[in-house]
Amino acid sequence: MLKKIGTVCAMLTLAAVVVAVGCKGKTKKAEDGGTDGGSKPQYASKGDEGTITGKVSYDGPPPALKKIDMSQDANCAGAAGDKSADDLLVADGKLANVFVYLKGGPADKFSFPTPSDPVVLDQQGCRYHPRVFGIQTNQTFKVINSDSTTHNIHPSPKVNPEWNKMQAQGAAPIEEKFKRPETLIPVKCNQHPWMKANIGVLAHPYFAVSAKDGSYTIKNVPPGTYTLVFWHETKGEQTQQVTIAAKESKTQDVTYKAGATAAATSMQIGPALVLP
Amino acid sequence: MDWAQLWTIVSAPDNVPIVAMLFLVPFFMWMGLRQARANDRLAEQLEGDPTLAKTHHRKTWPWKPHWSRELHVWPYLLRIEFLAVLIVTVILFVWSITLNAPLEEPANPNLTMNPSKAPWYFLGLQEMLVYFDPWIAGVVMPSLMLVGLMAFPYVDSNPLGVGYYTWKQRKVAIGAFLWGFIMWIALIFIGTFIRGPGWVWFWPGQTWDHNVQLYEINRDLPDIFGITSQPWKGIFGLLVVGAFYLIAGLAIHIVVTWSKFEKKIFERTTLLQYSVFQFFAITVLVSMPVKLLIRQLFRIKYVMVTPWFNI
Amino acid sequence: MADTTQSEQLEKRAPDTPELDPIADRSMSGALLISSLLLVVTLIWSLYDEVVGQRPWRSYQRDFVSKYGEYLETAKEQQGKSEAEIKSSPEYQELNQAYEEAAAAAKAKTDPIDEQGKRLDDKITAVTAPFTDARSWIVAKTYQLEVTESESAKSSLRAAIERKKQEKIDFTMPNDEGKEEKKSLTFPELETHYNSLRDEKARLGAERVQITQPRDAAQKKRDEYMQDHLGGLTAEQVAGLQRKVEDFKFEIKQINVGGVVIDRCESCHLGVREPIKLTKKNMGWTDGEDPAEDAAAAAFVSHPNKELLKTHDPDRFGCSTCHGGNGRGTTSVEKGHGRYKHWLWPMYYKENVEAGCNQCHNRDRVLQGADLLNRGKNLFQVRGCAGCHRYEAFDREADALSNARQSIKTLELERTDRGREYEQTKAEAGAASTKEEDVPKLLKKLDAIRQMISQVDARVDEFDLQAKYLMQDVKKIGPNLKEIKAKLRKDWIPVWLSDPQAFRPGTKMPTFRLEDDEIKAVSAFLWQSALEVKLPSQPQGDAAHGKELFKTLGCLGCHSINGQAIDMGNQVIGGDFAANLSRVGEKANYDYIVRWVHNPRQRLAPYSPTLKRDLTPADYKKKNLPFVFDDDHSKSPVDGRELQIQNMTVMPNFRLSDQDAHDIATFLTMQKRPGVEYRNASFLDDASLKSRGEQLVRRYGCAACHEIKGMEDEQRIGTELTLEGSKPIERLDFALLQEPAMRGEDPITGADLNREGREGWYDHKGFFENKLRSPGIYDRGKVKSADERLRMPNIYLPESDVTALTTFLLGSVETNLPQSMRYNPSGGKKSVQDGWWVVQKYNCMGCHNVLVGQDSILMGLPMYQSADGKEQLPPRLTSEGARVNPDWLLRFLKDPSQATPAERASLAQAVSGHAQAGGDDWTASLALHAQPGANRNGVRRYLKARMPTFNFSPNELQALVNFFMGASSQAQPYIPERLDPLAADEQGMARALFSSNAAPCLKCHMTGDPAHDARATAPNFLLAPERLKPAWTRRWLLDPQLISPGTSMPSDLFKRDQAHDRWVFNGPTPPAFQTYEKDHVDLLVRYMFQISLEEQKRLGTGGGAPSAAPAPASAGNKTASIDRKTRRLSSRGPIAAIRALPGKSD
Repeated sequence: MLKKIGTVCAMLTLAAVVVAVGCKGKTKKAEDGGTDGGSKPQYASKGDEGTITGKVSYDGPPPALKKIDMSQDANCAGAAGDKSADDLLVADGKLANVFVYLKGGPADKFSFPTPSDPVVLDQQGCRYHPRVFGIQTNQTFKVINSDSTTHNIHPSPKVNPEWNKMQAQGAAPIEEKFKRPETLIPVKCNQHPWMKANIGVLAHPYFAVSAKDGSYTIKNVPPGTYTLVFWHETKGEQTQQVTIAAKESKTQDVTYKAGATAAATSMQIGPALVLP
Repeated sequence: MDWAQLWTIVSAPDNVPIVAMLFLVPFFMWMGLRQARANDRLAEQLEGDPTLAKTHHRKTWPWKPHWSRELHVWPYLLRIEFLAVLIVTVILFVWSITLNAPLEEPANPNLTMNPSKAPWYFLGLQEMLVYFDPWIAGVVMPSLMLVGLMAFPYVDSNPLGVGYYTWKQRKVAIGAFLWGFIMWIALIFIGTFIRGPGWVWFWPGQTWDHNVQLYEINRDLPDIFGITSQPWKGIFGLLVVGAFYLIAGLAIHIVVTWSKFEKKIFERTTLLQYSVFQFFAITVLVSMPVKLLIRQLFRIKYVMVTPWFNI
Repeated sequence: MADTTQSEQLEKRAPDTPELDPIADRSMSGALLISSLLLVVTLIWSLYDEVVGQRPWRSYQRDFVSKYGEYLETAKEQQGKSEAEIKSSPEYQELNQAYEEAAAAAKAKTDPIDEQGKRLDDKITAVTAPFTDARSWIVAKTYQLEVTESESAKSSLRAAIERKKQEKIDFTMPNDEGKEEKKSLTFPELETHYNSLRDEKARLGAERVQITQPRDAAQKKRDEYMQDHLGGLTAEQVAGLQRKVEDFKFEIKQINVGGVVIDRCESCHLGVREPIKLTKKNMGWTDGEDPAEDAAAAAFVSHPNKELLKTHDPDRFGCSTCHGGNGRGTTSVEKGHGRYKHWLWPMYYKENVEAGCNQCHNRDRVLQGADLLNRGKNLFQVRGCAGCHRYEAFDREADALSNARQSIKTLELERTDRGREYEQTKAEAGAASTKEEDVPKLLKKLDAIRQMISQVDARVDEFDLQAKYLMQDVKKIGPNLKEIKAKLRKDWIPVWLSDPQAFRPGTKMPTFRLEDDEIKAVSAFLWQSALEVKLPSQPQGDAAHGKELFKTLGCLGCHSINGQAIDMGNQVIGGDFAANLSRVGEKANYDYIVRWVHNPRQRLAPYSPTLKRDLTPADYKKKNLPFVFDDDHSKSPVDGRELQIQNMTVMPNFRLSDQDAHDIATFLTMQKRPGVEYRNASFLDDASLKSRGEQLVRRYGCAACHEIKGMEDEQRIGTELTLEGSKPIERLDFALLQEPAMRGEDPITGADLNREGREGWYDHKGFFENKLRSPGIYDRGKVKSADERLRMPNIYLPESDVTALTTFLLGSVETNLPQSMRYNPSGGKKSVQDGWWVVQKYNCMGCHNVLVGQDSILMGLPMYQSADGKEQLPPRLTSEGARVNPDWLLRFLKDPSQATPAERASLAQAVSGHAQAGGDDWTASLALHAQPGANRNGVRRYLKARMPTFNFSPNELQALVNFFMGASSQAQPYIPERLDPLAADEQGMARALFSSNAAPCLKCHMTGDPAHDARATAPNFLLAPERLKPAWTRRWLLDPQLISPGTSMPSDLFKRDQAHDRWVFNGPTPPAFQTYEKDHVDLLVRYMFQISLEEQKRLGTGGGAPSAAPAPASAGNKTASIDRKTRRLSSRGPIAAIRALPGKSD
């Protein structure tokens, strides 16, 4: 019987609560308005940005340049341009096509304007040019086909929608956008299995790709502490901590060992193999 | 039952009356007796002072000068009754607000609850089933009680103590009634608080365990005396019962003829009245507790075993 | 009289200060006042209780109204903003302008019409009064005329009516200029006039609609655009909601479903069905600061799964139907949720909510959206629960099988009776005593009996056949223990029995609570009851290649293994459907593994269910038959009944070459910890242990999961669980734990559950969970002898799986809902429901994506993450039914290698070959049999993962085909649509396009040229005609990404040609196309469906040797003939069709 009386009291209190809510509610709704999106503030330049430069070197014998067999498509075999594999480009101890970008620090605290000019991926001589490149989110990604054959462009991203489009000889350029940051998105052409490219999508403009001489430069970096990430298609990822003071320009070199290979990508395991 | 269970049972809405009774019965008994004592004193006073007896009519209060001799129903009685009405209404209100009807889940014919108990006012009968065979406990006893209650007014040969509380002038009647009534309450109490799963006897504080296992043999009296074959069992039982009636009768006789006053009343009683009184007194008032005791103490199931019924 | 005088005297005598009368002089007003005050108070209390106490939902509703109102305010603002944006967008502007123009145009036309209309109305009103007046007068008179008897009266009435009709009626009505003018017409004239006016009005109305039509269309377009781009409600809609909230009615919101379900849940859960999505946050979630507040917020959210509500409309199903709880209860939260002693169906806890689905969907093996429930059902099957516990539908095959066998027995009896009857009748007919005229009747009867007998025989045969198929279908979870002598390391057995989890974490094999001597006895019995055979020793293989095969063939779809073994991290990876092979090398013999991976279904000896023993070569010798038993030699030589000729495993046959089998086996035997040694177990040969062991094996029901000699017909040892969820709690045996549990303590830790807010022990959920966590728990404190203790072994489930199984069990209830509410699908849906049982039984989802949104195990594996890896994934089957021709699918599932007749013939030869070789001893059954089909995939030969042969019984084949057809809602039977043949020029054009650079189809699609196919990533076009459906092919060509996202087939192959309303190739087309008017997609589809090997060769891209061409190619007409044949047969039912297939190596 006490139970019942208890509930009666509970109701009294509840009624009281409800009355209270009337006043309390208001304040809460106010912030509800803002809670969606979680947009970051625009980055305002104070003119004190620094610069990061460096060289990516490769420790070990440069790999022999294998020729790619393009015989399956006469138009490729016939096309001009060099036919040697370019997944690991080493010129006198310097490694090219390493994607370098900043993580953490101001780079993630602010939002940055999207460049209006598109990033162009050219298909020429049945190769992608460039093979590794960066792009900002929502920046236009333009694919053109300068070959006399048909290609299909097939990026297989993880957090962006996947697509796979046909581009016949002389067809109009394909224009696409990537909405979310993702490093890196592999691109391939299903008809020419050797055609590979990698796109680094970032929310900020602080990225670069090492040139033939292994050098890279990331300009006007806001002062702060970052993780500097080096990514290579076959040789995997390396990171460095770097702090940029106002107007400072730092040099960050990195070396890839010949032995190292890319670590296995993240994987999911068949359910329920753990013991209670 | 252990204390947690005790609480669940006490707080069960349908047990409110029996719980209340535990307090109300003693209380009203006390009140009645208090009145009775007052009246008895008055009676003495009146007997001591005949003039007073002449003039004084109000039976329940010692007389004081300057009091009005009689009181009108209105307002003096009605206002009291009105007060009572108010209080009872309040109680009923509170009760009805705080306690909902104790509804349970839809009955499931494949599943009888354990213990499955009768409503509190029948628990006495249910408890009696433990001590008598169903026919006696379920049919004979109850009807005897009713008939007995009907009969008692007619076997009462005591002219005094009518219409007012008194103890002196009605020791036997009141005593007999209280004896029966309290016995009945006791049975209900046992049924509610002592009988757990499997209708097993759990002392207060003992957990009502559904897995309880216990060992007890209940034998019939004849068996104890090694009487095994039928008519003898019956005959032996009959003798014992007879003896019981004699002894009990004698005991009761001694009680009812204890004082001089009682003797006087006894002399006013006709043989028929007296024997009827004796019969009911023995069969209902005495046999019940006796049976309970021999069952609980000596684990005796039946005293008289016949092919038709057992006692 | 005397008295009074007396008293007067007394009064005189009285002292001056008389004592007060205790009754008369005492005032009771105090008591009365107090008690009446009390009464008033209780009265008020009762009123309060009536209004608030008994109606807590009122306060909830008040709360909701305030919160919701506020939320809508904010929502409106936001929507308003985005709406403004859209309005400013050029598209919208355009649409809006279009609307404006249309509106203007319409207005120009409508205005005069409206003007006219107005004038008409005036006229009509003017006319109506006099007309109706006259008419009613006439009608009244006419009635009198009809009812009057006397002729005179009639005639006078007629006259009166006539007069009325003739006399002129005067009235005024406005003319076209709107001036009033007098008119005077007779009734008929008036009538015609009136009608004409009305017709005019109608005409105008129609005209108006005509004119406004474009405007309305434009408006619709504009609003739709807004709707699409706003995502959510428009400001108006929100405003509408606000209005609804403003005049909110405070009342019990009740759903009444035909009096069966009456739910008032929505009296408090008011947000459930609001069109706008309400989250805790919107409704004032304080995040624990203010529990009461949070409780309310949580109560007001909208239903998390609106989709679900669409299919299960609350107005049709109510709430408590799925969620449980006391839908009628409104007096308190506990009451409403049914969380009190006397409500038998309390609301399911959040984590078990899917249990509610099962009461109606108990026949669904897989229920889309109820993943936890599905997981529970999977576990119930995969962990072998169904072996000991009967559960309807989980043992359909076993039941059907026993029924079939039973019916065979009864039929045989019937046959003998008939025989006897026949003899008797014959005798009677011949007897001299029979009367002449009776004889014909008797003869007739004789014939009848003859026919009956033959009918009985027919039925016996059919049942026998069914028995054969069912024997194929009935599977066991565990391995066949008759073969352990050949398979296992002797010393390992007791080690395994003592603690399977230690050897193989997460294994299905449960841990029985056995003493050491018991373990000894059991293993001894098993060892001694196994078959005595010596496997021929197999040559070692190449482990590296074995590993490669293991990784790529698709073994990991079911099996798991330690990542190190296959150089993939160091976690266990793969599926949990089958065993974890990380240490298989420690237990099994190489020779047996070879045999097993080569063909797991191949038994050592056939089992005869009728003789109840395994047959030996001796039995065959008696009938001097070779000791050969397979699909085609499945009858017993002893009594001609069907034999169990397969191992009862679901593991399919990968059609490996002997070499590959050796390689994989070698790789697997290497899976062991270095230098592992087991205690010598010589006692396994101790015959004295055998009988004890047998008792134990029976007692613990090992035969539920394993095939054990002499226990093939063991019954289930567990309780039936079909309705476990609705067992009264009193029937669940908590034993000694009951009292504390009821008191709300944790009987193990003694913790006070009520105080710690943990869920109860003493309810179904608690019972199931605790029992699953540690089955023996309810034996706690009981004094029991070994063979009284609970037999259920420890199953070591992870917590998530405990919840899954609990959910399943909670859902296993006896529903009291009317049939109309339950889910009894028919047609396609039904075949899907049935098909799932097969799909899950063989774990198709380990490799394939069958359900939209479901990921196969393979998809999760590292090697299939890369872009190239994805191309190696087995095909998605989400649109399989729409894609392929059911007859073809049937044939494919029967033999996924699509072996050519030639290959089949050679196989048949091989079989008979080793039959001869085998002669009458064991060799035949011990040898590696020739494989059914070829050592490759049938369709996608470029895939490394291989579609294995499952030896589906015709029943299962049919179930699967129906499943896929039903899943993509395809009509059955399928009659292929006829494509009009290619004209010569079309042929040329199509060919040109195919071979042009623009459409390099054959770059990726197989052509039969091995060199090319090595690179290919798509099937051969030659398969299209018999395999594909044209409609699907067309859709596929238009946008493959829609059907199979991420496929290597590119989209944008065609572009819309609005001019001719057709699809044209997107890219440079050969010149011939300039003049072509028809749809390019159709052209290609037709070309594909009529392409021939020669044609393909002509396409240039290295045609390849005819031998290498796939099935249909080997004889172009063969396909056709097969088609025709099957088509004809399928009319006789699919099973017949299969029996008649050339595939069946006859």
